[in-house]
This record gives sequence, C-alpha cells and structure tokens, in this order.
Amino acid sequence: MKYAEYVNRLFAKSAKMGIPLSGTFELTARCNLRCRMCYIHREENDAEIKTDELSSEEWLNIAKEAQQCGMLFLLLTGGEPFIRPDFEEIYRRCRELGIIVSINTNGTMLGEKQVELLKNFPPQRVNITLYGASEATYEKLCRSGGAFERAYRAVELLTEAGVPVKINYSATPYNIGDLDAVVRFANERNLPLQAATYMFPPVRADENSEILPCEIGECETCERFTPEESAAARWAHELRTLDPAIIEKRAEAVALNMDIPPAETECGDIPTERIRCRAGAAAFWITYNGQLRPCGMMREPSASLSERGFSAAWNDIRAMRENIMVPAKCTACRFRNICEACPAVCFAENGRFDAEPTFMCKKMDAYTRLAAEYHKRR
Amino acid sequence: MQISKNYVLRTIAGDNLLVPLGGSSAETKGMILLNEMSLFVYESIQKGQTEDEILSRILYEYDVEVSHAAADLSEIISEFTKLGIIE
Repeated sequence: MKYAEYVNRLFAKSAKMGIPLSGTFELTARCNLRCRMCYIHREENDAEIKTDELSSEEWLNIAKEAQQCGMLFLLLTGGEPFIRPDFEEIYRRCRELGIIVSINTNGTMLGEKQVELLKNFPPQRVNITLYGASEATYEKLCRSGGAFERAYRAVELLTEAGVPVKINYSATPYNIGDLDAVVRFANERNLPLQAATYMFPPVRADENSEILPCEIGECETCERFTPEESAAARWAHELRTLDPAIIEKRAEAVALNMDIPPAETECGDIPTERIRCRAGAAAFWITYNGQLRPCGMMREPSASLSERGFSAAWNDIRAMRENIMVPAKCTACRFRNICEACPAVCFAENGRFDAEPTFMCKKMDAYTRLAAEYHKRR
Repeated sequence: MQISKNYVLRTIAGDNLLVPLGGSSAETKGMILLNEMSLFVYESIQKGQTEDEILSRILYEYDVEVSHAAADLSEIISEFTKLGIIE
C-alpha cells in the first residue's frame, strides 16, 4: 500500500474512533516579520503576548498526553516558531515520543545551528513560506527587505542538508507579480510548491473583535485580494501548474453547467453534511495560550487545556464539532468540490459557521467566468 | 540481537507503527507498519529472546510448518537488521 493511501486510511479510522491523530502546536503568535495580510500577527517583542505563551514544559506535557491519546502527526507553527529560544528542546522531545513532526516557518531565522539540528534529527518536512522573489517585494509585503536573502538561504541550506522542504506562497496584491519566479525557483530544485490565493481575514488578530463581513473596498485595513483578484490569481496559477487535462475537464464542466470534478485538498473528506474536514474529528489545533480548537482559523469552539486537560478538552471539541453545520447552499453547490469554503471560512468571513461565505461565492463566480472564457476560446 | 534506539513503537487505531527517530529513508517514508508476525518478533526480541527461542514460540502459538516459520522469521530478522530496527 502506498504511504499516502495508508495515511488516508489511518485518518479515516481515527475519525471514526475519535483519535486525535494530527495536531498543530501554535508555539507563538509572535513573528519577526510584519506581513500585511497575516491572520494573527504579533510583534516579536510583544511582552504581554509572550507571558501568555505556554512554556516548553507545558507544551511537552500536552505532547505526552496527546501522544497517549494517539497523536502521531504534529505541525509546529506560529507566528514564527523559531522565535522561541526553546524551539530545539520542544522539537527534539516531541520527536523522542515517536511523533512525526513537520514545521511551518518563514525561514528567516534558520541559521547553521538550526539546519544542523534538522539535518541530524530530520522532520517529516519543513514548509517554508516565501513571500516574494526580491528584496523589494519582501520590503513591501513583510516590511523586511533583508528577510528575502535569509529565507532563500534557508531553503538552500536545508535542501543541501537533505531535509525535505515544501514551499508555500501566500499570494496578495503586494507579491502576486513574483509568483512565477517562485514557481521557477521551486521547480529548479524539485521542491513541491503550494500557492494560497485566498487569505483569511485577520480573524485571530483580536479575538474579542466582532466579525463583520469583509466589504472589499470599504475595509481600510484589508490587505488581501478582492474576490475577483483572488479568482484571477488562482486561475492563472492553475493554468501554469495543473495538468492540462484537469484544466480542460474543469473548464468544460463549468461551461456545460455540470458538477465540477473534485480536486485534492488539504482537508480530508468525511461524507457528512456536517463539517467535512478532519478538524475536530481526527485533527486539532492548540493556540499559543493553551486553547484547543478544531482548526487554527476558528475562534470557537474552544476548550481550555489548563482547565480540562488534553483528553477531556479533545472530547469537548469532538462533541462541539458535531454541531458545526455547513451552509445548506454549499452542500448542493456545483462548485463544492473546488471551492475553498469551509466552516472556518464561513465564520471568518460572515461570523457564523452556517453563513454563506460571500467572499468565496464571489470568488467562485469570477473563477468560473474565467474557466468558461477559456473553454470558449478552445 | 536487541532492539535499537532508532525507532519508537506506536500503536494507533489498532495499527502498530515504528516511527524513526533519526529521520526516514525513501523506503520507510515516515514509519514502518508491522503486521502481526513482525510485531510478535519485535516484542520477542524486546524481551531478550534468541532466534531459536522465538522460533519455538512461533511454533507454539501458530499452526505453521517449521520450515515456513523459520524462513519467515529469518526474513523478518533480516529486514529488521537492514532497517536498523535491531542491532
């Protein structure tokens, strides 16, 4: 059996049995960059947030409890996880528990010491988010031109050391012009690349703020694409990178008003009208301050680890997840197989899990217009 | 023959998995799935049993011919050695 097939089967079993197979530890909300569109960003030296962060001992106790409950896969993320001086300790000791660990990072804080650690004690993968292909773009988007060289150097050092790397690209109006160059960079090194053309609104930046539907053009702080721009970016990127047969099939389905065939997504498929992904069924997220949630893009449901302990908190979340319903319109939508909407998106965009995510609906309208035009030209 | 410190045995959803500590090869990807017989052998080695002792136990526990059991055991031990599961 192939590895991917086995892992999918294990996830399906775990979801049925209530096993928290996959976890994400958000070690910090702080970051050394200041990307304009970040969903959570806190400053590197934010002392107040720092006091709320779990200690390494707390993280390791959680890791042990989660491992005993069945956690096999773990993603360490942030903010920027390498900001923590105790990252190495947390990482090593999680690995020693027989946990398969991946890391999300912007790469700019990886020096020879960190590379040596990862070379000797390899993770499953390091996912490095690149924000552009030039110092100028990094300055525009991340407010740190110097980060460009450090990020690219990290990719080179890790790949030379034999550490598996994937490139992530967060596409925004500030850096969309560099995507082609980053794709070339990844292809030249045989590295997988995943481009995200949808950015969540800053749903975690202030967890006490009211969520209002993001009215593009009226929102002064919006640093992401309009739905139409997001659709154009996605279509253009897919034209360059997807198998042409998939593009043809998709364009034809759009033009002939048929159901669009499914594409591979990060979130696994569980056939139910409730929330479809693994979040809260076989996967969980722990925030920097010890809240257990199905997904990091959600503010709720949420269970306090300090009050409940891991096992009880996980059971709380599993139960609450059962009440998360996808919007009725989405379950019958012919774009449901390729739309990026999920309950977390619905909540972040429109304040309710069962609210139609207007941003996504507009994005899909624009996307399908592009697909239909493509089909017409063929 | 003893279990090396290169792997951690995890039992998840009824599956027995060896997770490498020092990283995975292209062959193992991220982990090794043990079937019933491999797990039996692994746990026997963990208890300090020799190959002969393990063979005797297999013949006691399972309804198999000696030649088959010996061949299977030998193959498992060879694979364990190759993957660094035992040393």
